[in-house]
Amino acid sequence: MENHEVEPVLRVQNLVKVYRKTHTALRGISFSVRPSQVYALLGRNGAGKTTTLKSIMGWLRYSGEIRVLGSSVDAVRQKIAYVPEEKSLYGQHHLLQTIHLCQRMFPDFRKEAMVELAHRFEIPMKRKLGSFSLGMRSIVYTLIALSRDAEIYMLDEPGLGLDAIIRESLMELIREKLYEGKTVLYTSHIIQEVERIADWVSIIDHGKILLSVLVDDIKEQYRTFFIPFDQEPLLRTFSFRSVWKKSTHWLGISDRKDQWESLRDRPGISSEVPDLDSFFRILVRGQSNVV
Amino acid sequence: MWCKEFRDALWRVSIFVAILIGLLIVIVNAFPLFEPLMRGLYSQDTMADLLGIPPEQLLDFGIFARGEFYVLDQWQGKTLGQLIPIFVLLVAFPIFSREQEKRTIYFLLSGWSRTSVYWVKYGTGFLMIAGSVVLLNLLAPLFMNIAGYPTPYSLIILAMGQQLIAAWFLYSLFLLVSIRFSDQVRVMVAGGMLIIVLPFLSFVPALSWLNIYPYILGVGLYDRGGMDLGYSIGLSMVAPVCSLVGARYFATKEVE
Repeated sequence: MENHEVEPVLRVQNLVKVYRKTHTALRGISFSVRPSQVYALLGRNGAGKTTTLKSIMGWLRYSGEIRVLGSSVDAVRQKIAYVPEEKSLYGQHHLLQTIHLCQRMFPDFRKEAMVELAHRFEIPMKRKLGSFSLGMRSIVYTLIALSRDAEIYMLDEPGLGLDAIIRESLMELIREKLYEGKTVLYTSHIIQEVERIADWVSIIDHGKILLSVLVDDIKEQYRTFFIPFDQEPLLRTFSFRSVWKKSTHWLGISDRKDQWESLRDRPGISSEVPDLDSFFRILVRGQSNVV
Repeated sequence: MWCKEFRDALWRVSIFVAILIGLLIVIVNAFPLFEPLMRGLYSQDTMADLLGIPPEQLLDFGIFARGEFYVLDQWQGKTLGQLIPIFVLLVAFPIFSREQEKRTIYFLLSGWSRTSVYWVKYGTGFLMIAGSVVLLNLLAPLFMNIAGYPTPYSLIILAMGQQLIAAWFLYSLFLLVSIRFSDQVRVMVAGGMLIIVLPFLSFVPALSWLNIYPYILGVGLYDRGGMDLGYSIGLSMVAPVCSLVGARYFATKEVE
């Protein structure tokens, strides 16, 4: 459960963002990130993850309230290490020049840490960044952020374009930040990545948070039920968090432990402990169902 | 960040300055050809005949053959002055639009406040423009004197003052365009349109001040023996207003 005694490092309340008066990207998002947590925003492309981060950084006009470390973002900008979705650095610079630039831009940037990480990830020091692949740019940008001694690391799709091995190493690095007492807010559409490193996850779709949950609680607090079409009335009788109509049956997520036994006793109904992957799919796809 | 901004603009500025220095050398070397031509064309007797006035009632047309007038007319007026708006556009157009187009703006804004980013960029660009304009203006009398054509600096410096003020005004205007568009081509086109359209607006009497060319070319400066004070004060008031509007616009613009 969330510890309400600890002051959150980030609090977002009723965040609404409308682009050009026509497209509503965020529809009242609220969440809090506690210290020393990896908090993930998980959602499909266009769900509103990047818009949320850009709003937190103060780059978009929005309605709602955002407090970072108890202040407005402008007061604490230097304490945030940010990696945008577009991993664009100055293509005409090589890594060494970029490191020098970071030293001047970020007072908390640790050059030695960056050089060590660059060697570990085999990033060439004297090749122009413009010639790097998307994956290499992702690594470099994320390593720059992780080489800072920031309070909060906000990482927008840090695993973009990376192979599984490199991504795993990068996720370990991100996770290591917790040992230093840092907080990480990151977005991803890769479920396995989130499951691996996040403590809390908010599943976001169409600009709304469908559910915020401790990742470890999913297996304990929720069950997935397979319900044949001939048992459809049960969907109204019992309470489900979300249901998704597949080709042969319904898939429902329930957090009502008191109903689980009774449901399992019904003919043709089976259940399983959900992983984040199935949990996410049912929750997101269930949005379009009318039961 | 100052260094980065300086490095970003260095190539464009260096190429422009190098080309202009080349042109300046050609112009200085052409003075011996120009001087007798001017002396003949504008001699007191020729002009007196032409205008039907006794020579003693005429101005001293010998000025046309002097080094100072030559620099004011051929260099500051007909060459450098004509190119300053294009030079300012070349420096200003990518300052914000390239960062937005290439999405590197997030890198800057994640470490610095928008106000800092704006003024550092503004300051670097302006220093490079002002430095180039001063250099290219002062090199002219220097080269003339080195070449053995005595050329005083006083009026040339006043003309340089006008060019600096005009460059400041144009720079502030072009930066607004650079903030507005996150596409460098659009900024170039819009800036080019401004350069072309501003003189045409001067056909409307109320907007005649928008034709900055007579001022930037130093028209009338020799006759007045000084700067156009009214216009200088006017532009010096409009330029900071444009700069502050730019700062406000950049501080509130959405970075999508």
